[in-house]
Amino acid sequence: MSSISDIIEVFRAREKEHGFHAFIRRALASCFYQLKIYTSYRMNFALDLIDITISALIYYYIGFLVSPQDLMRLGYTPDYIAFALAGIALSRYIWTSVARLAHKMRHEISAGTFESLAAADFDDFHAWLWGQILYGFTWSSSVFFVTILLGYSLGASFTRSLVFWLQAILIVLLTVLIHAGIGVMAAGMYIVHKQLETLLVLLVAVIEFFGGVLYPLSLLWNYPPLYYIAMLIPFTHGLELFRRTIIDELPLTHPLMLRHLIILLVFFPTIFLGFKVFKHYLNKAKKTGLLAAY
Amino acid sequence: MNMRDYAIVSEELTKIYRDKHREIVAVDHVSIKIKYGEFFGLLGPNGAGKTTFAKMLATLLIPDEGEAWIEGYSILKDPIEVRKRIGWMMGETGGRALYWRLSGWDNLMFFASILNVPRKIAEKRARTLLRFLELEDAVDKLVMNYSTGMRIKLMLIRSLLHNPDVLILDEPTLGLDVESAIKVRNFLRRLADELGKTILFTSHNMYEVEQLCDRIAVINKGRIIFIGTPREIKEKVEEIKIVEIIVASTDSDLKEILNKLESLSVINTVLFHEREAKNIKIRVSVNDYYTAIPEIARVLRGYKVESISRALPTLEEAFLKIAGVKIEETETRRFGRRRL
Amino acid sequence: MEEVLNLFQEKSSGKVSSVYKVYMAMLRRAKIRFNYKTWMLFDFATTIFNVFTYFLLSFIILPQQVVAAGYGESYFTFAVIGLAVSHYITAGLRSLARTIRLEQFYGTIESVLSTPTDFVILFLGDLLYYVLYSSIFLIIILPLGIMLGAKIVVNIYTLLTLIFLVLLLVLSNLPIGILSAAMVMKFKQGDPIGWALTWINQLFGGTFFPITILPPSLRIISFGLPLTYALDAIRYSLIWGVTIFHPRVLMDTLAMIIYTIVGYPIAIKVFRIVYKGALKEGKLGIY
Repeated sequence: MSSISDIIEVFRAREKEHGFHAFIRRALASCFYQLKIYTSYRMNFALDLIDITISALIYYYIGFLVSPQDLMRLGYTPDYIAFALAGIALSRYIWTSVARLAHKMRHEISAGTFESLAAADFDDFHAWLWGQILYGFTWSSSVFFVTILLGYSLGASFTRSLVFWLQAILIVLLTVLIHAGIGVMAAGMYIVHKQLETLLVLLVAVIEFFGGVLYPLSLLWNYPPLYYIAMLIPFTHGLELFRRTIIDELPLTHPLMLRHLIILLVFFPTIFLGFKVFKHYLNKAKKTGLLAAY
Repeated sequence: MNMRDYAIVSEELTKIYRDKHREIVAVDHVSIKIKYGEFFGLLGPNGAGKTTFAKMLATLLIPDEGEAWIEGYSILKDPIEVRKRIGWMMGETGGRALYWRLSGWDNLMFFASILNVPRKIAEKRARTLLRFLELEDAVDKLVMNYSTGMRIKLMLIRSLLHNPDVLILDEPTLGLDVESAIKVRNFLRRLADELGKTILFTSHNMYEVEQLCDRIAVINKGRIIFIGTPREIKEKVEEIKIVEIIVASTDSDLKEILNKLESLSVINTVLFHEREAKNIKIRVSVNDYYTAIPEIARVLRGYKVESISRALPTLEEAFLKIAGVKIEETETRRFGRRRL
Repeated sequence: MEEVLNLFQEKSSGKVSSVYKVYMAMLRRAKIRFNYKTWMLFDFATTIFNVFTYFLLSFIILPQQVVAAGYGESYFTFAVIGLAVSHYITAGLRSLARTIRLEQFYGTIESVLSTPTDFVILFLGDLLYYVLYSSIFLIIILPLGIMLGAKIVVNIYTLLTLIFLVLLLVLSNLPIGILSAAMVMKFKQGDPIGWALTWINQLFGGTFFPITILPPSLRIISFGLPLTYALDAIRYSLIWGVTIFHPRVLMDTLAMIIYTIVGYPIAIKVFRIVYKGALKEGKLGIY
């Protein structure tokens, strides 16, 4: 057993890490502790994978009912399973990017750990937030990867070109970052406005629907207001770009792609705005004493 | 013997927990008889078997051997009749045994319904008890916003809604503030005295049990090691003489101090020592205060002695005495101190 | 204190009916759920969006397979009925296991078991809650579907047939639900049977596509599921306006009744054994 003298000796050392290395270490810690919590529920990942497999198979069989000619008429290759699985794969990122952070905030606040985090915060929560984003991205990417593999095994006409897959990954990263910006913003606002969580989950449902995950967007041309709503959502453009890349093998410079890419890039500043908004609400909560209120 | 002659009877009640590697006898052939209207305390340290015993009586656990009866109804053959007659509360959960996403009122009304209490009567009883325990203002709030003490009170109210003849209360004052604890104790005592309710009250607080109970059973490692009145327990406890010494000292002096104390014939054994800020507290058992205290003062001359005083035995020290185990043997094992 | 003591001088008279207890158990479940407003709203929102998704999807679906299965030309009608009824699967398969997990989670299981009321009352209350909750989806989805053009025949006879078949669906899935609850009680690790059967039902029960699409080797699984019969009967009734006395609907009904009759004794026996074992082991209250 250590004596008090031993303990005092240990605490004489006052080295601290600063700078970028420290930031990375803190961010990774935030990611890893979340992963540890997730993997402590051993069945969780298995359940998630089985869930995805069942979804994929359902749309595989629905694919037998879909008219290839109608799909072509609407501007897509006549492979519904590829179409649907591309949508399902990318949609895995929506929840983790947009709503998960606010949900996480709720847990931290209700468990009473948020104040401890705030007391140990050296960078306006940047490291913690990036760590959480990284965790969400890791989880979603595992499920994304499994979905794509399933697609291949079910005969989906995904590209086999490494170049196009690199392009696809770039598009995924861009889409995720933009939505993560929304998520960070929402997490910040949640600290003060707890009722926001309800709106967020509705937003996720709206994004998933209007993004055209399971049906061709051009079907919304018959309902112009709905089409315009869909066009306002960054995910819609991300998914179009992703589909056109891995199914139709269109380069980013193609006219069909450029339009969506430009609109997506317009949304890019949300990632920076997100952190600013988070900081604003964090300070507001500290001023009004709402940091631990849930 | 007619089982109805007593409120609670247990005969050789035994519970053994088994897993792959070992067997733990949680309750070991316990036989007790509790009269109608008796306030009976079951006292023991954590892990002694109090809760396991209480759960068997409440038909929540099936014993491996033995039987028990509540007002003549067997816990094995007539569990429903038993449950009609008992009010059960487990304070050890810290108030977790409530639906925290419901309000206090909703919790009470739900349990009243499954306790067969008609709505109007349940409302009347609940309101009266809530007023008495000063929970009325919080009753419409979600239980998740209650403090531990509030939850314990709510659980106590719940156990009383159906006006049971027998109350099985497992650590009911755990987590209550001093004032509330006193209030609850007085209330329970009057329930027994004026309404003739039989109360089986488990606790690890010897002084509380001593204060409230007509008779006390002491349980340790699943066995009843003593049954008697509080007076009889007190007499046993009074046989233990403890002296507490507080001395301002550094760690390096401690060994020397302990050696000096152990060398004294007036001291049976050094029981315990711990650091409290700049001081060290040492507890020793002695045979006689009048000879021991001056000798201790003499041998510690030269040290900064803050106090040498008589002390009440801790629960552990009392248990050991009651159990008839020599304090010296057990304390040596516990603290790993070498006898010189 | 005098007031309190006076209160306990009188013994309570009057009884509490089992129906009332079931109602109170259902109410407690509903109130707890209602406190999670966000997730309820998410449930409803995704359900409504699902209806719209299948509405849009139906524009690119060829009707041949749906026609061949006997459900008319409208895939959307087919899908809407599947969506509306699929929530009842949870009621039958998962409600009992969830009751146990909920009580263990809250730590209330021992408090409940120490009362003279049978645990079955609690189960029934929770089951009633799930049935009512699922019915809300039915009430939302079917009218929404009709508004969007689903060809559903609504009259008193088809509605009564629908209610009857939906309740039979729940009952026929209950034996599995009881076995599932027994597993949860024993192993305290989620609800593997419930999860597995939910997936199997989603894929093979005919919710989203006619089972005639499946290869024969997989169709055998469909024939082993009460949901297949329930959906077939409900669809046939609502699309063609027939009642339970139509031969096809009657055959499906009989299949579900057989499931119920055969399944219950086995499930209850297994549950009793596991329950008694849990009381002996003393692990019922452990989450």
